Amino acid sequence: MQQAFLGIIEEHQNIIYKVCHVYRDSKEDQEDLFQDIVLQLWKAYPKFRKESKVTTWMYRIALNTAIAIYRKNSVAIDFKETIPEKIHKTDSTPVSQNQDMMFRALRTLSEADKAVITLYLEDFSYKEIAEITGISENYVGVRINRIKNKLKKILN
Amino acid sequence: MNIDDLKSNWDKAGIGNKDRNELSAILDIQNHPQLKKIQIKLVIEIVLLIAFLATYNNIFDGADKPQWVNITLLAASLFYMLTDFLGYLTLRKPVQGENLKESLQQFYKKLDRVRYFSLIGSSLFGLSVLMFFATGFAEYGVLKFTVLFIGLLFMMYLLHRNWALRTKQIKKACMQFKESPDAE
Repeated sequence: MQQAFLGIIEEHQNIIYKVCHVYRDSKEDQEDLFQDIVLQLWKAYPKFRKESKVTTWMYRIALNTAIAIYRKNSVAIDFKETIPEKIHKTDSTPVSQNQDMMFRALRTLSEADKAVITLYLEDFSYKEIAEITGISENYVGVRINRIKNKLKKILN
Repeated sequence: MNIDDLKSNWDKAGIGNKDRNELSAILDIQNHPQLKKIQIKLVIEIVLLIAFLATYNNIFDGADKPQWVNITLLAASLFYMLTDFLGYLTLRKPVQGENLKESLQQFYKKLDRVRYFSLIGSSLFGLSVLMFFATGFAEYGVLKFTVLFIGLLFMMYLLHRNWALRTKQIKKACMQFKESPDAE
């Protein structure tokens, strides 16, 4: 069972990677959240009945973990005269400037809005977003429009 | 960057490169930073309490105190350890329901319940310790008793603050999933 699970995670780890970047600022916090999510997925795996898509199941657990796990509010110190070559040991592909800007913009949203827009960007239908988040299908559309407007203001 | 660019950047992002060995190591709870911290805190508290219960008879003349004081102290200590363990079990399992909204609501209810139990547990423990030392009040003196009282109050404040911050965060997230414009 463990090998089958690891196979799924290996194949779809980009889902966890994206959720970590949307919900956490620092590299360390993203790495901690990555571990939290994998552990929660592993605990939930025996109950995964494969009636839903693997990606739906993974997003549900990953977003839930990202929102529910307690994190202390830390003060972001962003002072630098020159850009250091490598601050932390990177074990994943570096984030491009555009992607960094995108994740920064997404991180300004509320926890619930982050979940909704993440699923929208991942091409889930309104019905699927409603099923994963627990908000009604009609309201998903309203919410996405509001989030788009917020993001337009932030990005321009 | 507009919304279309956002979608395009989203599709390009997220190429994780952890191999099976790295992922397998994550499944071991001992390698898990968050849960390890909670586990260490739990173990330290339980070890300190057990050490206190094992030595208080000799160091603080527990044998000379009334039996009901000793029983109260023992029962309150056990209850405190139980609430501590209950808190650990709850924090280990943040995913509860079938969707995010339901799951967060259930998690909030459980956390809030644990918060109350934890407060009751720490209050009872604090009171039982005070009662224990109050029976020899003349022997310990006002200063020592006051220091102990303040120390216990501080411990309860920290515990309350810790749980309040956790529950506040989840409650805020629950509100954000409500379908009313006012919820935001």
